[in-house]
Amino acid sequence: MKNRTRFAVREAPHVEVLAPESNLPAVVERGISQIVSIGKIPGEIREMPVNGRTTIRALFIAIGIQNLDRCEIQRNGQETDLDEVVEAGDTVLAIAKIRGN
Amino acid sequence: MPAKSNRSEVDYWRQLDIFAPSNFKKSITVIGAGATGSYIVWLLAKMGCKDITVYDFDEVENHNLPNQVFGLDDVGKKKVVALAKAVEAGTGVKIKAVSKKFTKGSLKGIVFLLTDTMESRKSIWESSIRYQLKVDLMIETRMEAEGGRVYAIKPAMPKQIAAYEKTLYSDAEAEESPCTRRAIAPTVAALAGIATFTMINFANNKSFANEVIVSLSPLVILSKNF
Repeated sequence: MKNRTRFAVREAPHVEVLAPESNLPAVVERGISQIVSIGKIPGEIREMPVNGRTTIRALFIAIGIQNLDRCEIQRNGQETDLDEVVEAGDTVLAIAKIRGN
Repeated sequence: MPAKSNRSEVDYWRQLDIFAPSNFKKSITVIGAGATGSYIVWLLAKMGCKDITVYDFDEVENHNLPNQVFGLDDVGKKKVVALAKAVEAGTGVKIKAVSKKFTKGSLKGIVFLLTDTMESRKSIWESSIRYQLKVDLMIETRMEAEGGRVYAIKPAMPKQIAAYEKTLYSDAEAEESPCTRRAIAPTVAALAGIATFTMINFANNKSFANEVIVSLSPLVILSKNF
C-alpha cells in the first residue's frame, strides 16, 4: 500500500472547526502541495488545492461563490480582505452576516 | 418502589451537578420573545431559574407557531402573556412579562439580547449594557434557517466590548433570507441550547466562547474567545 503523506491543516487560534470528511489524501497524492480550507458559513468547508499566487476572491469564485457582499471574510479566524493571497494551510471563511431571531 | 409523585413541585435532582437553581441568584432579563427568546425562556424556567423578566411588544401570529413555543390558542395574544402562561403551566415558574418594546433601561445580572434587527441590538447594547457594571453577562443570538451566531460578552471588559462591536454590522449589510427559508424549530432549539448552556458555564465559573458560529447543514461549529 502506498505510503501517503498527510498535511496538517492549520487551525486558526482559538477556532475549532468541525468540518466534513476530508479529501486531502487524494489531493496530496496528485502532488499538489498547497491546500487551503475554504467555505461559506452556514454551509460547507472544503479543502482546495492551490497552485501559485491565488487571492481569496479567486478561490471563492473557483468554488462558485461570487457574491460576498453580505459576508465577513476571515482568514485563520482574523478579519481579512478578499485581495489577500492565501497560503498553504489557511482556513478562509465567508461568514454570513445574519440578523434574525 | 414507585416514585412518589407530587403535582405541586418540580424536582431538579437529575441536573444538580450541572445547574443547581437554588444556588443561582442572578436576575435574568430576556429582551425579545420570538423564536430564540421564547425557547430560551422555556429552557431557563425548565432549569429552575425563577427571576426572569421578559420584554416583547409583539403578538403571536400563525407563522410563529412552527418555530416558537406558542400554541394555537395563543394566536392574537401578546407573546409575553402567552409565554408566561405556557411557562407557568410547564414549569411552575412565574416570569415577569412586560408587554412593551425595550429601548433603554436599567439592567442587571444576565441579559439575553434577542431582538430581530441589528439596529435594535446596537441601540440597546450602547444605551443599557455596554460598561454597565451591574450586567454580569450579555448573551446575544442571530439566527437564519440553518445556522446562527451566539455572542457572550462581559460588558465591563474593554477587549470583549471592542471585538463585539466589530460584529455589529448594519441591517443593510445583513443577508435577507427568502420568506420560506427563515426559521425552523431545530435551528432555534440548537441556538437556544448553546445560549442557555453558555449561561450555565458562566454560573459555574467555567470557560465559554465569546463567539459561536453554527452551521447545521452541513455541521460546522466555530468558536472564538475575544
